[in-house]
Amino acid sequence: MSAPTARRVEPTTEVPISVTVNGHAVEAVVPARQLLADFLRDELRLTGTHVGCEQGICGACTINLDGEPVRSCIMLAAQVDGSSITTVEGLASEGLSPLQQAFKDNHGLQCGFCTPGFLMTLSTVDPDEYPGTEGIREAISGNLCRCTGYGGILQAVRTAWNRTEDG
Amino acid sequence: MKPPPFVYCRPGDLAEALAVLAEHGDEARPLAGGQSLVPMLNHRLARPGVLVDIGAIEELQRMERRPSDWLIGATVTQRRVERHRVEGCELLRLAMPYIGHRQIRARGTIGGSIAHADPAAELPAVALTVDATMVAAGRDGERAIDASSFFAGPYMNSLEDGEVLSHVIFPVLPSTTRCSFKEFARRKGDFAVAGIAAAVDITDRAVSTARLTAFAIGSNPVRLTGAEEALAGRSLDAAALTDASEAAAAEVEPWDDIHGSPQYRRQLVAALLQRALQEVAP
Repeated sequence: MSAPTARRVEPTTEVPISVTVNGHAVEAVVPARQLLADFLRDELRLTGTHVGCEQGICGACTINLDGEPVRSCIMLAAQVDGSSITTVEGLASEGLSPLQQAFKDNHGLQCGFCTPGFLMTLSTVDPDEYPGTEGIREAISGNLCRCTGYGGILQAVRTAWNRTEDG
Repeated sequence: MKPPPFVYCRPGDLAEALAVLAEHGDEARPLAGGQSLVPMLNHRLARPGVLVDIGAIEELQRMERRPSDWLIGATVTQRRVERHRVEGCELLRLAMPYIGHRQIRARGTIGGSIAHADPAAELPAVALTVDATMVAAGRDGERAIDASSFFAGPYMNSLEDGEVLSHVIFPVLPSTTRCSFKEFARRKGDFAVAGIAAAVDITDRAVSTARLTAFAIGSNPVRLTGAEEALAGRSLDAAALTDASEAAAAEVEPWDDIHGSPQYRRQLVAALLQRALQEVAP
């Protein structure tokens, strides 16, 4: 017997969701087990969100969920019902955003696999919360890059955030 | 790496969630922020048949300063606590930046981390240090569980089947209590190899109560009672710090894994405790 206040909720293998993605309203029915990263890539064809480790370590799949940077490989698509998401495709309406341009100008990427994750983290956090070069290191500590090295990335962020080398 | 099949629901209130959990018994698992459970699903280390997403239940998102404590709902995110600063709960605030990375804290929850009881996790150590109370909700009502009896081994807690951790009560410490949180990990944000949580009450330059916890060295966080006793009534001078560190190194029985030998962890405990006590010394 359920408690008197309990409405009946039935667990299901398919889950209806309503979510805003890059400003567009999306209605979908997703498999319960589908990861958010796979929903974005395979269903919405937003393949800018990259899937690296699939265990929440590398940060390549970072997106902006209701204003916070979030790893989309360790979230279920079913969990984002009612939320608003921005992916790397939503960063600029045309051309590159200033942050993207700074990455391009400062050799902030080489193979580019990790880049969408870095961009989404950096575009979502408040620079004032991460003062100085140490702050930038802290801000990007949840994103791994395996080829460029972090020097170019740090320089790109300094440029985008109008900072000098000493802070 | 994708999760195995399961059925999913997202109840709007706690009574609904408890009803589903009761119906499905140990097949069902609550899902909070998912920052531990979803990786475990991806690795197929966990194969629950039913996931009950408690993320939409408003009553689990309360965060209230009461006269002598903070009541923090199970699904309050770590990020929310980090932003809030939780006045009077210094140790909780100090521990936040050590929990994973910003992206993890955005989703990771207070209750999820405590219930998951990862040996290397920060929040169980904080709970044990400040004598937090875990409140379990079941179909028969609520039950309070002391931090000292909540953790039941690595990744194990003392919740019964069908119960959910609904909120955690963190006592507000006296203004004379000074806190420090220290952790060693190979890289910032990685799982701790060893860590120390300290809340030391100092009156007239002497230690009246020291609460010291070591974590990431064994199944669950442990209070360093030997080191606590070594400090009682003393001023935090060099000799007291040395005595406490030696007592801590002698009383812990660290486990051996790829991240560090027992000997290494013992040295880390001693060194981190020294640093923590230097920080709280007036």
